[in-house]
Amino acid sequence: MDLLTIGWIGILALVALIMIGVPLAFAIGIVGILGNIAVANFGQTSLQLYQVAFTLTTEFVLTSVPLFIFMGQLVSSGGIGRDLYEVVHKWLGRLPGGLAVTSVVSCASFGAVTGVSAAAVATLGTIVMPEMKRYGYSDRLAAGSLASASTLAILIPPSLAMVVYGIWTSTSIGRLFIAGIIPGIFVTIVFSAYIVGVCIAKPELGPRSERFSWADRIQSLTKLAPVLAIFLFLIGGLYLGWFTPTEGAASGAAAVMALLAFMKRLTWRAVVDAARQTAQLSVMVFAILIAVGVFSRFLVLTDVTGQMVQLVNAFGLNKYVVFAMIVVLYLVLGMFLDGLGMMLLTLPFVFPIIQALGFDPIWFGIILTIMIEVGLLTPPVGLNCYILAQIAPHISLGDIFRGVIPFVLLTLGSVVVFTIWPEIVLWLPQQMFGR
Amino acid sequence: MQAKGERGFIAAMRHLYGWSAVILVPLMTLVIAADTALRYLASMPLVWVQDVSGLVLLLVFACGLPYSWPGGFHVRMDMLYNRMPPAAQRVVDAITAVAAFVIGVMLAHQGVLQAMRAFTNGETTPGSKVVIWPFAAVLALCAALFCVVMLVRLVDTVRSRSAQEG
Repeated sequence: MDLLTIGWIGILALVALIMIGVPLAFAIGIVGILGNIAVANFGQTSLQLYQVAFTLTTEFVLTSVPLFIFMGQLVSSGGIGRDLYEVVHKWLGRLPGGLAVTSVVSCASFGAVTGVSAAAVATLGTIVMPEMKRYGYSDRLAAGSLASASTLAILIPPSLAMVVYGIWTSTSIGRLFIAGIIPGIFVTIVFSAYIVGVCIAKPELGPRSERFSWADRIQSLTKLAPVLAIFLFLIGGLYLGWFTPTEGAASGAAAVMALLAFMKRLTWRAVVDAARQTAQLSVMVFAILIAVGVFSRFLVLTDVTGQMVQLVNAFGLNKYVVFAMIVVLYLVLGMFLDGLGMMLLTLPFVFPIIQALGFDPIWFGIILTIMIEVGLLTPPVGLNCYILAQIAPHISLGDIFRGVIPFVLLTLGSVVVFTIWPEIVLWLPQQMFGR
Repeated sequence: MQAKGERGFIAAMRHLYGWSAVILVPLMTLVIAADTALRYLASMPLVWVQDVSGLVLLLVFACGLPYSWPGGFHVRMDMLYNRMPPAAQRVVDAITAVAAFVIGVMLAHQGVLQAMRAFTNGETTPGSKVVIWPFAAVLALCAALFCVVMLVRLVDTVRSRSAQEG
């Protein structure tokens, strides 16, 4: 049997194992191992598995993964979400659908200090959902706006998805972070404008909340200081070259701990929970990373990826048609797979194609991050919708999924905009770092 | 039904994961942050930090690995799985356990070989000369514990099938 046939059999076996429900790490790992044994031998494969595991788990750059998770977990346990909500509510609460706009802007701001969207929906959901219920907001608008906006946490830096993408594709994490800022603000404005528009047309969906004096509003701004300080410290430090992403993640997490201790909000329980949650997510991510490492070698040995790129070129399709197919692929995969798993599973195939078609890797990193956001909302998996369903049991899961539909469409519309005008994504990193 | 010894073993793996996380994650954070601060504020970088924090990351992963299956850490596409009849689910569980067991055995086996080689050759990290073999040994040991967990799960799966057929 020739190598290419073995490669395709491996890919089919992988798809079958994932479809029946074998966890990603084990499905990718076992196919990679058996495939490598078939084309090389047992001894080499065993050595390679160990080397991939040892190298990846001792790589200094990769320590940024648990550190960014740890920082996000600490932020979510420290009451910073409530502070943000209170400030934004005082400024934007009087708009039509003001509370929903508040939840969108609060989630975006929360994203500036955490890179894990589940933390955003869990933290802000407990604050925002009872308020929207009190004001008689439409269940679908309330749930849709919060669940959708919570995904902004992975688009606005720091972002765990961007860290993993950057490491895997050898793309600058600093550039990716900076590139996420304008798309993040863009999507925030689009979501907010949609809510205001809908609530002007149908005021009963989202009534305005109470008015606050200017003195109150200005005074509230002091509560923004911790978020602003952490964000500027992290992004400024990366931009000015004070630290690498890993050092930035550690310094950011240490700064969050110091800040919470100063605000008398740091508890031993919070640190313990954050550390355990961090280890749990890290084991999941690294298990998949190791499996993909072994599987990638199998792909290289059988030259399946090269053949795929050749196949795409042979069809002579327009590069935007191929890109649209990739977006559809992520839309479908996002319905069933965890975001990071989806990214790690597909990058060995998709990234060479994206490179061969001449797309910018920074730009694609942002588009992929946005597609992961969409995957957090689409049924049947839609993780953020499930978390929200636990927080707001008075809203049915069906209503939550229906509520996110307009926001998913707006997000996909944003992908179209960023594809037509990639400068929206690339302008800021080019200004800050040069071409 | 889980036997008492089995429950105790899983609980021990949970403690290994829990305590290692609580000690190692904040440690890694503080050490790297301290290095960054010392480098800029006092021009006194801690040269061993990159090597040591990498090895700490290995320990976080290795100590969490044995409890990763019972703890539900791993992600799967469960849409089809959740709709399968119990017998089909048991088949998938058995495939999962066998796949994980094979990966774990290979990692443990090679880990032992590499730990022995590193011990014999006195291998150290390139920068700060930290001895490598204990970390390779921990990875091998935790991979072996992971294998035991998966084997127990495999036996459980087969047993529950036999019990139903009986």
